[in-house]
Amino acid sequence: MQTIDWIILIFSLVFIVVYGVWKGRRQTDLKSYFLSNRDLRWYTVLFSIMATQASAITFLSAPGQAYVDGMRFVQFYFGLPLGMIILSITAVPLYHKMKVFTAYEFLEQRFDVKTRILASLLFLVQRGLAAGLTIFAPALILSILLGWDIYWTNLIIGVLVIIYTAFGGTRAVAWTHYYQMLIILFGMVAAFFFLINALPGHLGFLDAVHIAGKMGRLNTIDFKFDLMNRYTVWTGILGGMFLQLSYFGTDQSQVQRYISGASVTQSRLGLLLNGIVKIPMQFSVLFIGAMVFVFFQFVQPPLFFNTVETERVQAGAYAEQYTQLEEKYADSFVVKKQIANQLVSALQTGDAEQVRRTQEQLMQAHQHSQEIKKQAVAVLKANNPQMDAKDTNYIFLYYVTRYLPAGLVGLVIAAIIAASMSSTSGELNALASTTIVDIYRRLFKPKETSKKMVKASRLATVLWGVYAILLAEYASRLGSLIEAVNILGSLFYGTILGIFIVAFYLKRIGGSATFYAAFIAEAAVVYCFVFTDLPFLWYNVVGCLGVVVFAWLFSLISPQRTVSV
Amino acid sequence: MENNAGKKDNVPVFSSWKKWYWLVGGSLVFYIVLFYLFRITFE
Repeated sequence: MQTIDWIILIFSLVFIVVYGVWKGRRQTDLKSYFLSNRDLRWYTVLFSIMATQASAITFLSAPGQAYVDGMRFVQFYFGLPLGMIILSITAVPLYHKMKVFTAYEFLEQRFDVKTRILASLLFLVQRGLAAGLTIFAPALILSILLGWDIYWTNLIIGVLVIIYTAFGGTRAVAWTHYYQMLIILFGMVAAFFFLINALPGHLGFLDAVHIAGKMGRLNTIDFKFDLMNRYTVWTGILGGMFLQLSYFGTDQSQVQRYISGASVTQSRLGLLLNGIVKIPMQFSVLFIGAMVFVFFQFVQPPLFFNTVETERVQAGAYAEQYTQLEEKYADSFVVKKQIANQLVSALQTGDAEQVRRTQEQLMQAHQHSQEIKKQAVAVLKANNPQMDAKDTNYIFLYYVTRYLPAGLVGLVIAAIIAASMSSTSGELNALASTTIVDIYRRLFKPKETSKKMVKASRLATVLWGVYAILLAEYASRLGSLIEAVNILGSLFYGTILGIFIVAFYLKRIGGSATFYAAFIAEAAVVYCFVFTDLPFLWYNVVGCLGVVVFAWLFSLISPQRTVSV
Repeated sequence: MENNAGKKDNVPVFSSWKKWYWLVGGSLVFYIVLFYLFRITFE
């Protein structure tokens, strides 16, 4: 990184913190601290829910996933528009009408205090784990590719977030989200245009898209009905809808964003517009990855993108073996590049037969280079058995740091850190509101003064922030980080969603039936996780249906009072 | 539905929320068709 990159990066981060503190001044009670006095307009709600969902992992992993196995990940978001419609009809008016601070507060009004506390605790465990990962994942990648110390990277990101989140509460979080999203969008758009511009001169944009398509990187749609395939249209719509319903309808880190809207209209508009813009945004991020893939068909990529591991092997007993593989890989790249150029010529002349033939040759050459890569990973693994065999998460940042011009590198890294901060701040804010409103105030201090409550809320935010930093410092290595976050969420989301579905729609079922059904459903999810190969998106369906079915059965055995909401 | 100031909320742009829901649901269908065409065009 050059001086201009540091200037852009530091200016962006300082601006976010100072703006957050300034915007979040004058917090007098819990309503202003946790709900921004319910004064947010639709565009702030929209940007805030987008920034909370889009963590740095999204921007680091998604292009890498497109590079490795195409854009099929976009189907994961197909359930989102349907989820936004359902929530706009059901949850938004209900939460506004009941004037709740948290989603779980509603459960006590509908069921009883034990179901409220159970859902709050499930949320605190699940989101508490994810908060550490949200800081750790990008910090790890930044530290490896930029040579930063991971300890300090975790600490600095965490402390910056704590400063404005603890001081300004939801208002600071929502308004910093707005500018963080602008930095993220600007950074990604700039990276995309530079990438297209940096493609070899003879390669037009459409040629590049054709190459990506011919090499299987534009597999955006798969209509096959296969329960074991996690990225198909059907898995995305059904499993994805359950996940998005759980996330946006019952996860306080999202609920808090839209119940802070000035009215039902403002909250609904924010959610519905999110349903429209999220899929194209995710498509664009994945498309950048597909274009990075095309770029590396003409510019030689490293054998393995995690540079710490390659440096480690070159300094160890396997150095010679690895160097030989690198030479083989370079030779195979020369052949592959020649074929890729032939494919470009064939595409430009419109010779369909030549296109088909060179496409086959190119795929074979790619297969050959992948075989060499597999051997290299085996050598790296022999050298360091603890290493992560996947380098998916390093691909995009490797490209950014090696090939983008000075200034743009700083902007993209600022965008990645802004994404990390935005999702972390949303999480800390929600963890604090659940801790204070659902646990501390409800169980221990129901009559505490507003001033003391705000103080306690600030302290809770700081403590959750410190906990997240500590978790980030000690986080162990994970496989594909984006999936790890989703898997963690999926273990609890289905059960929480089931509780809320019973609360919303099955008004004859009472608190105790739902409470015990939730335990059985969670056990079923854990069973699926440990003993089956069921894709993680389906855990939401298992957990949710488990609660609904068992709660209904229990209510038949022991009917309870009917509560109207 | 009333907003926090006690005033009735108007549906922006369209005459009802139903039309908004059709727009959002329709956008999903549009994206699926568009991505399918995108895939078969360039593969």
